[in-house]
Amino acid sequence: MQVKSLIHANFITRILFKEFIISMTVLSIIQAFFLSLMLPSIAISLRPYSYHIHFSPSPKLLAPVISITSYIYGIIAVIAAAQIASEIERGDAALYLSFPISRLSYIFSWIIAAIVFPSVMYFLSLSIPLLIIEPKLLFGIGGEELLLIVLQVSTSAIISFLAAIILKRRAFALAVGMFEYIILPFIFTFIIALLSSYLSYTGQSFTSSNIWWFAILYPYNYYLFFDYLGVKWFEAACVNIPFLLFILAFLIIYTKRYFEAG
Amino acid sequence: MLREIGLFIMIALFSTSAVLLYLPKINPFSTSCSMDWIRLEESWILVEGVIVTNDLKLDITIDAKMWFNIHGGNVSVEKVYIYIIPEEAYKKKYKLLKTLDKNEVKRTLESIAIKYAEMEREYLSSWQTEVSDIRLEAPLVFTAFIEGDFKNYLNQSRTSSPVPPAIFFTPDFCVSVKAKANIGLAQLSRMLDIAVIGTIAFIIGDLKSENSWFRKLFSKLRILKSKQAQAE
Repeated sequence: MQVKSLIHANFITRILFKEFIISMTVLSIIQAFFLSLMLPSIAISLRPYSYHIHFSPSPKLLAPVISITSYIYGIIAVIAAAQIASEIERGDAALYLSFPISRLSYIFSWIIAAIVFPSVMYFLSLSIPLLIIEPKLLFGIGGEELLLIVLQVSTSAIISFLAAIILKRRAFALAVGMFEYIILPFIFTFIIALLSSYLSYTGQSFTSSNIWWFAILYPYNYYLFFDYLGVKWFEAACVNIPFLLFILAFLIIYTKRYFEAG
Repeated sequence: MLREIGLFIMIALFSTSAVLLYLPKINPFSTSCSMDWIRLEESWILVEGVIVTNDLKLDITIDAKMWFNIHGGNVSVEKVYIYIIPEEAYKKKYKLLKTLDKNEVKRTLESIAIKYAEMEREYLSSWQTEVSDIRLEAPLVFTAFIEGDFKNYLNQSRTSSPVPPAIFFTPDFCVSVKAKANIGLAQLSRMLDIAVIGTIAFIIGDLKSENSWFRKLFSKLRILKSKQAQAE
């Protein structure tokens, strides 16, 4: 199954090759540029001598870069994931499935091409400038941010993918993916603001235990926004990963039992 | 797929290299101020230093702008000197500086400083100076030595009144640093390592691929050669 999935994934990446190359170039240039802009302020620290505070880099060092480029990465992943629906719409999927490739292999090949591949692209476009400038920036500081953004975008892409194979319409899958990745975070933030106001009105304290559910879909945003509540990166990952595995399992079960290409 | 990954590595490397070549021209700045002193005497003050450190293994040169302002009255400042001292040397002499007299303090600072200068008066109560192209390998301490008349302030602060004087004086010594990160051998060698990894991934991936670009290129070259041979 794995070999067939890989062969078909190879075929899909070849179809999307131009788009991937353009996206990779844009991502790399933007990330390298922003990193180099931030570099002096990362490298240099100034303080009055008597303060005796030692350098402790911010755990959200890459936030200015990631908050810009993660949108490009997220949109690429969502669009690529929704692409399977256009294959089903055109009837190409039925043609591929008439070859000796199982439905599961077919879906896995799309997961590799539309979710794993953009994630590898994003990881490389950010990690290569970091590795060249100073490996400490990747292994010591920015690794957790990179992991969380990959988890967040993978969740959105799998939701878009699930919508594509259930609804079998590319436009619907794109709408679901974009809604989940771009609009829903604003709605959630609004709900959290209301919740925070309500809690302060009733005299209760607003803690991270009130909003952990935000990390189910948006682990990186949760980690970034609620730092002041003492949120840790592994808490965000621990909330998101079971959900990610659940939707993957659902995708596999749905594909095995109900997926029809025609 | 390995071919595409190899290609992505090379694209990322190329983009990073293009930006890194531009890097020495980019220099945002950061500022820190010290509002305390090590010594406060009738005719001079030694201001608490501002320490600048390089927290990454990067070759960094800095341009620093320093300024000194007087807040409060009853004091007059004649001259302000700045000293840029390696932190190690500053730490060693720190206790000693608290016991020496004016001339000895000046001499000690001059002996350990990598650079020192007199600040220029900008306005009535403001002095400033700039230094450029200082290599920031070890942490550096920027400090100021001020000559003037601080008797009134000393007399005020020595009074046993529980209420602090209405007009008080604080030295406001600020350092603003513009950093330039230079690309050194370490970065170049890492670039080379990544280029080698990317190229190997690209070549292996391409040769394994069904529609190998290399194989296509070689077959085209072969056709060209055979055509040339036929023409000859």
